[in-house]
This record gives sequence, C-alpha cells and structure tokens, in this order.
Amino acid sequence: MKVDVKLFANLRARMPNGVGRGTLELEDDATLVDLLQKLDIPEELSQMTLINGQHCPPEREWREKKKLQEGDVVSVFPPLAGG
Amino acid sequence: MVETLAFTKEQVQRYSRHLIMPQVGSKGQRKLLEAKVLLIGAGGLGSPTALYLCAAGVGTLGIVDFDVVELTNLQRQILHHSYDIGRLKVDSAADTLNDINPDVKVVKHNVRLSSQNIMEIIEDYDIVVDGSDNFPTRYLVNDACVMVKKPNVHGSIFLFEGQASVFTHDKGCYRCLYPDPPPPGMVPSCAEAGVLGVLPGIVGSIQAVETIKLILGLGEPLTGRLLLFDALDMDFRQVKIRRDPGCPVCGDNPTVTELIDYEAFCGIPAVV
Repeated sequence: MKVDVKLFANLRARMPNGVGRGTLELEDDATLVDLLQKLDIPEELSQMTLINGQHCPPEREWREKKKLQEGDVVSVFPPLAGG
Repeated sequence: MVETLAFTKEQVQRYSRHLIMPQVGSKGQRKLLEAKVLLIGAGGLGSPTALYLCAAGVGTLGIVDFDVVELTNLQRQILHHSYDIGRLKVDSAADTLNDINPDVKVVKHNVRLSSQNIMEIIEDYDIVVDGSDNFPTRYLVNDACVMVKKPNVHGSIFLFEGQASVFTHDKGCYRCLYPDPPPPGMVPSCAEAGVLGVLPGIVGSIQAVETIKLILGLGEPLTGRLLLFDALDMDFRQVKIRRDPGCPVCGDNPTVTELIDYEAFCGIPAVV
C-alpha cells in the first residue's frame, strides 16, 4: 500500500528525501502508529497529525487501531517554539 | 457623518481610514485607544504585531523582553535598526513605536518572565500576545492566561512554518493541544535551525489582526481553531480544536494549579 506523507518544520528531514514530502510503501494492514514509528516521529511531536486533512485524536489507542488506506495523505505538524 | 468623540484634529486624520469604516468608526477607534495589550517578546513575531497595533492606535502596549538587539536579529525583527545593536530591545522598540504613533503609551518590562512576576505584569492588560521564542515561556504564558481568564493570542514559527490561534480558558488552550513541553533537545530553536525572515511578518500580522478583532468584538476570533501555515506551499489550513476536559490546566479537574518554571525540564530557561 502506498500513502502520501507530508512532514513539516523540523520533521521534514525525517522523510528519506529530506524535503518532507513523498510516497511511502507500507504493509497493507499498516496503522497510523506503524507509519509514525517507521518515520521515527515520537508522540511528543505528532499530536497534530492529519489524515486527509482531518485531525486525528492524539490518544495512542486510537492511533494503534487506525488502519491506513491506499492513497491516504498523512500530514504531521510538530509544535513550534520560535518567535 | 463620522462622530469624533473628542478626537483631536490630528487623530481624526491619523485614524481616518478606521473612522470611515462602519465596523470600526469612532466608537471602535476609542476602544482601540483604551485597550491595553501585552506583547510577550519584541522579536520576530512581536515586531510586526507591535508595529501594526501601534499604528492602529492601541493605546497601551506593554512589551516584555530582557534581551538586547543583536545583528543576527535584524533579518526579521523589524522593530529594530542597525543603530540599535547593543541596546535593550524594550528601549529600541519603544523609540520605534513612539516615532510611529505618539498616541500610544509603551510600557517597558525589561524583565525575564517567571512564575514569580508574570501575574503582576499581565494583570494590567486586557489581552496577551505570545510572540516568545521558547517552550518554557509559552507554557508559562498559557497557564497564567488560563488562570486569570485572559485571551492569549498565540503565534509560533520555525523554518518555513507557522501556527496561530487564540486561546481562551473556555475554548481550549495550548495545553489542550500539547499537554506538556517536549523534552530538551527534541525541537531545535530558530537560532539552531533557522527561520525564513519574512515568516514572522505573516504570523505576527495574523496575531495583530486577531488582537484588533478581539478589542473591537468583530468577526470570528481564531478561537477553537489552530491555523497552520506552510510558506513553501503557500498553504493555510485550519484544524478545529476544542477544550479538552482532561486538559491539565483548563480541564474539568486541573492538575496544574500553580505556575511552573520549566527551565529545568526543557533545558533552557524561559527567555523572551
């Protein structure tokens, strides 16, 4: 299964191409947590995760059960401190 | 016919583009002149916010910052000039703002914000605008604003991205999104990783718009929503947020009931 991934701010570098955008190949039954683990994104930086533009609940139980679908767009926007 | 409500001739001209707007008018301009807004930080975000609020005639602008102007600031901190290098930011900011609009009273708070002084500082203001540059200060400002029920106009930036929201005690706060600060070192600072110089101009201007809307009671405030901005794609998106009943500070059974200085936790002190 292929999903599109968009990572922002300091997470951009975690995509293999370094620009924070791309398509990843995952197992067909992959969950949101599987994807976040594959990208090495800790929970502290992934509270603001969107699937197809919809904000995902931050609870780990929900994310562990959330099966991704072919073509999903997963965006992760970490907290920003700068001013 | 524009009522003047005892504006001076100069004020009638200075604010004429507000006075002719039915949504602002003389009553709205009077509200702006009577408003008291506290800016946390006179840096990248605080610069455009302060400049626009000052130009708009927000009558009292408090500025909290204990830093001095450095050459590395000038790529984005448009309150300050090359000749200000080495001066206190509050002094540099006050001079710039006084030059733009002498109607505005600038109150300088040349202090390091902490749990010990934040309450006495924010009590004099109606609205707090968070343009700080670190997590310890953001949590301190958030918690204090929730505790005294003052709106917190939030903005934050990094590299090409920005966030903005208006947090209120009853519609969700920063901790509803991010319950605790990330561990030390997990999120680099702008000093460590960089920030596009124009970026704070956009996000800080959004904070200024939201502040003026709150003062005037106009439109829909950015409460219950988090605005996410990506300059590279020039994409603005909004995420709905709501007060989390389990939030440690604004929830039904808060566990954070006293202000916390997170410097030990985050590795850097709360510096603005």
